[in-house]
Amino acid sequence: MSELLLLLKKDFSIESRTKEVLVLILTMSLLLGTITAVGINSAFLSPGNLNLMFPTFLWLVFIFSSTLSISKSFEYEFRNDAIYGLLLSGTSSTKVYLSKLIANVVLSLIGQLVTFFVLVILANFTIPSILCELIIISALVALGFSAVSTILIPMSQTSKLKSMLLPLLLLPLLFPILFAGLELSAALFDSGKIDWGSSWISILLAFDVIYVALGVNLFEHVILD
Amino acid sequence: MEKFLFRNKVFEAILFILTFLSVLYANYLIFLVVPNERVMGPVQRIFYFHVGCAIATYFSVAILLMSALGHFSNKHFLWDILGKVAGEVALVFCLIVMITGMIWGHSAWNTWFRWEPRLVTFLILLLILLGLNLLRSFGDKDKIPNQAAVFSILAAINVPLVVFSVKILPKAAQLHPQVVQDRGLKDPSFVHAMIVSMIAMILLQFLLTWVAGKIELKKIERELNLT
Repeated sequence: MSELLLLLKKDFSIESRTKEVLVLILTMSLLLGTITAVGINSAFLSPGNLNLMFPTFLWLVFIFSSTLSISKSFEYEFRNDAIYGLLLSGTSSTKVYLSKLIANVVLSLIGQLVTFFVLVILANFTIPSILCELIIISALVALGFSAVSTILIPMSQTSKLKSMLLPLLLLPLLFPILFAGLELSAALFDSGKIDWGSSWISILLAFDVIYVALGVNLFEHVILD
Repeated sequence: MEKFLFRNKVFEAILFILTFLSVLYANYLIFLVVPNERVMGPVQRIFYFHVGCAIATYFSVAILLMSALGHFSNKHFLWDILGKVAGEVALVFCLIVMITGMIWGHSAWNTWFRWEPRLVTFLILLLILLGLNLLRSFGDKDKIPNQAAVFSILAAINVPLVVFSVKILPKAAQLHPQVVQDRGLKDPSFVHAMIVSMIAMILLQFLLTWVAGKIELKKIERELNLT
């Protein structure tokens, strides 16, 4: 446990010093959110239509901004093969995966909330008081998103295409949580509450549990030859 | 496995003969025996290839998962070759499913694509398989066997999740014919042709996997001889 905390401290220290992923995620969310809001504004969407379209815009902006920014999260581990030094220190690859997963969940959750507020403000979207439920759904989506992306980032980092390969590998695998996020947030914006017993919650939970378990067991094979 | 996979000549000959005869028989049934469907006419005949290829795609994904698990059990290089060719064959068959489905859909629904559960499932599967083949093409050569096996497991486990989630999407357009559930094949020759075409496509998929694997094996042996 103390090893995991040390690794977490290392990940958050790197982020607090460089602020690379955070700055990227905030700027990308702001930029993509603005471009989407320009589209909404020029299309003169009626409030009813905006209600229907808003979850799509929200998840679209989140997925693109997070995928592009989070691909930087292993930058320092792969520079000069520092990851092997980390593993030689005696820590297990599972702990490296878990610490990166937690850091990525936090960063993508921040990105998601920023995206939400940018879109709500710029698109003049009126919402019921739903922040608590939205954070729970966002956290579940962010966990699934980070569980898969944390396994795939080393694959893209070691490829010839570098970070450009990440969206090509990651996005097709995200469809189940994308559908779940869309349906749940649409219900939330529409009625102001969520049916916690719905199948979409089960899909989100199943996706999170399966992919975190797979990540814990398979991460070692991704970074080693 | 060392002596059998991609090397056993007897198995290869039997597989080739069985595939050749079953594809020939399936074509005979589809084009000469089965009567025209009442509403759609001759276009409906594409359905036999479409369903056969869809089943063959699932078989390829199963081989993909098996090769990934085999790779992690003993790291034999033949598992990696099997995974590589199974991924390529799965992509080809998935593409055929999409194209035949779109041709059929254009004639039946007057549109190339509908957001309908099974079409969406195969579209997502196509994107996943495309990602796998891109990883194989652009990944780090030393790490590809491990990384592709990991991605294959992630992809194979994603398939049931996609199938389930797509099924519970809002049902605006459940237009895909539920042939088996609704017992839509009334004429006995329809059922006969469907079973034969399914077997033919599955055998063809096995043969293509075998031949592609053999080519990969020869390439590796040639590289080893040159060095």
